[in-house]
Amino acid sequence: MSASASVAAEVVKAQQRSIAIEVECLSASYRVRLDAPNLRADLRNLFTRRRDTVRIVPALRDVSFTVPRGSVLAVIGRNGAGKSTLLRVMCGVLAPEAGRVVVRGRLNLLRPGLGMSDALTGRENIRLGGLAVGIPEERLAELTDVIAEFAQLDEYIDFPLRTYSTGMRMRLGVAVAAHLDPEILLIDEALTGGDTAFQAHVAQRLDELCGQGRTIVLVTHGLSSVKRMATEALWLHQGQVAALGDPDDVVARYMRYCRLESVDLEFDDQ
Amino acid sequence: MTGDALGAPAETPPDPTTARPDDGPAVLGAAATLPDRPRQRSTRRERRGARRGRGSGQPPSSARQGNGSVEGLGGYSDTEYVFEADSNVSTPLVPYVRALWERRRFMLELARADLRGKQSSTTMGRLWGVLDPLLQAGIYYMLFTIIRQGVRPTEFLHVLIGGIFLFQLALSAITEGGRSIRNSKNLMLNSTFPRALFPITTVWRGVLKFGPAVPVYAAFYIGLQAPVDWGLLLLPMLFAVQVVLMVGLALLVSTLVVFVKDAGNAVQYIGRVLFFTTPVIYPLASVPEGIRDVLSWQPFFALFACYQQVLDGDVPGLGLLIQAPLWAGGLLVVGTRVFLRHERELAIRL
Repeated sequence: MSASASVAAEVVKAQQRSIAIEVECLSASYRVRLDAPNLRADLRNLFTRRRDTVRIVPALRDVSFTVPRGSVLAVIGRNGAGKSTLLRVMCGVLAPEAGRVVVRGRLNLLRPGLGMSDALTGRENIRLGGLAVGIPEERLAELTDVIAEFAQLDEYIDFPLRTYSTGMRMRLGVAVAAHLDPEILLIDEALTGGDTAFQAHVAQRLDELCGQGRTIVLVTHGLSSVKRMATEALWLHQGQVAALGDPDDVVARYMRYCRLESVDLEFDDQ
Repeated sequence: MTGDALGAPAETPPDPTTARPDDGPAVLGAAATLPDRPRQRSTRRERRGARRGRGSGQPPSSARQGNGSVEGLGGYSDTEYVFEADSNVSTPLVPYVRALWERRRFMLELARADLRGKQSSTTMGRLWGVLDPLLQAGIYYMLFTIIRQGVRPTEFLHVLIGGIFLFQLALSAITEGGRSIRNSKNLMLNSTFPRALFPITTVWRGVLKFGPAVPVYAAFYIGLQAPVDWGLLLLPMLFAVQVVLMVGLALLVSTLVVFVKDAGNAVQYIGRVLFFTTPVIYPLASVPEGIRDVLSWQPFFALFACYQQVLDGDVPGLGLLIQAPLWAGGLLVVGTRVFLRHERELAIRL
């Protein structure tokens, strides 16, 4: 009896280990403060318990799914659907309002351009980005060269960031994001922006990471890359799961919803 | 809300609660297997988890190892984070401090970068770091020689200038430290490192900025033939007390400013009040005894009274020497507690 119980427990444990992220009945919301229209309203807010100017905006409502280890989950949906919020809750930046998230493995939220400082050169920014996510000093020097090469900025890598164009900034940001590689990556819009050649470059890097067995959750508007890279897709609509499953199927339904059937996907990635 | 922009949507998104089971061929495993758990709030189990450093709202130290060990699917570490709905959990202190300590290089470099950002794009660049205290000292020298005509202006000047430099640094904990969380919205929402890093970095930045003022002031001090004796050795210790005080205040005020937005506006007035109630522009001896007792209920009072006496060649009284670190330590404890208690809510309120 006890032997079978322990076997069962082992099986459950093994199952758990194969799952990287579990999201259960997750809800999250933001507090938004609006301006009072006039002085009278300001005074009323001050002296009464009614807070007309504070709104709770639900960003996620009852979202549940799991991400197995080694898989790539693409999260799609329109602007304001709650995609970025989902990622933020998954890495503990925002506390859930209800439900829970379990993450098994070292994780990082990657968002290009994080912690960039205008006064520093490209190379110094790479260093700062690395330190921000806790890359040890000794690995940083070697990694900086790799990232600098990936960003394809040539001699501009030693120019201060304030001299960069938007595209160059983006390239540097993506290059840093794509190389700080924990076990679970949450990537927010890293594929958008940049020229076509660079996008292919980034996509290749992500493929490489998938090949190494990393679990990736990818928020993107590039539907063709969803179809190509993702093993599963999640369509969020107004904070709720609209569809979840096979990427081709989910993308097709999302496109039907957006009336995008006739649009060439190749242009969609821009 | 989003569908409207497109006109009538071709297909309304199905309600997830009803549509999921028979919707889509390859529904991800868990949605089907998940038990219908009641929503939980602030249960004991969650608290325990948080104390073990699992659900603290930050995935702090473990991400540090970065890469290298992960080769293929089997290479996952045992790290596990649980994020649950529970706003009553205070972030555990020890792992938190460790995670902060691991980011010390980042804090240093961020402080440096901020400082450089403020000074870059000017022709003189870093020279301003030295020029700024020099010009300020000059202005106060001018002011006091004019106001106190004929009353040997050099008598109090060395104390005054030193006090003003140090006070400006102390005040930056409230002004810049206080805004540190509110002004870092972008980093706050897109990064996972411990949030106390922001207020502490501003304190660090203040100290870095203060650096060039030290030789400038030393030159002034010697030039004004102020007393040089062993008592000056107390200065580094008093400065350490000041840094602790600043960290405590920055943690406390930065949390307050996020929750009560109006506190941000009040800060400048509080700063002004602190300036006039701290013995900086007047000698401690000129304050009547009764008023001194009242003023000593102000966090900066004891520290700056000590500074003033040391700079004037005296040894501060034991009472003041005890009071100053007590204020600093007390504020550090209160600031840390308040900050950790509310850390998880900060991002939502920004």
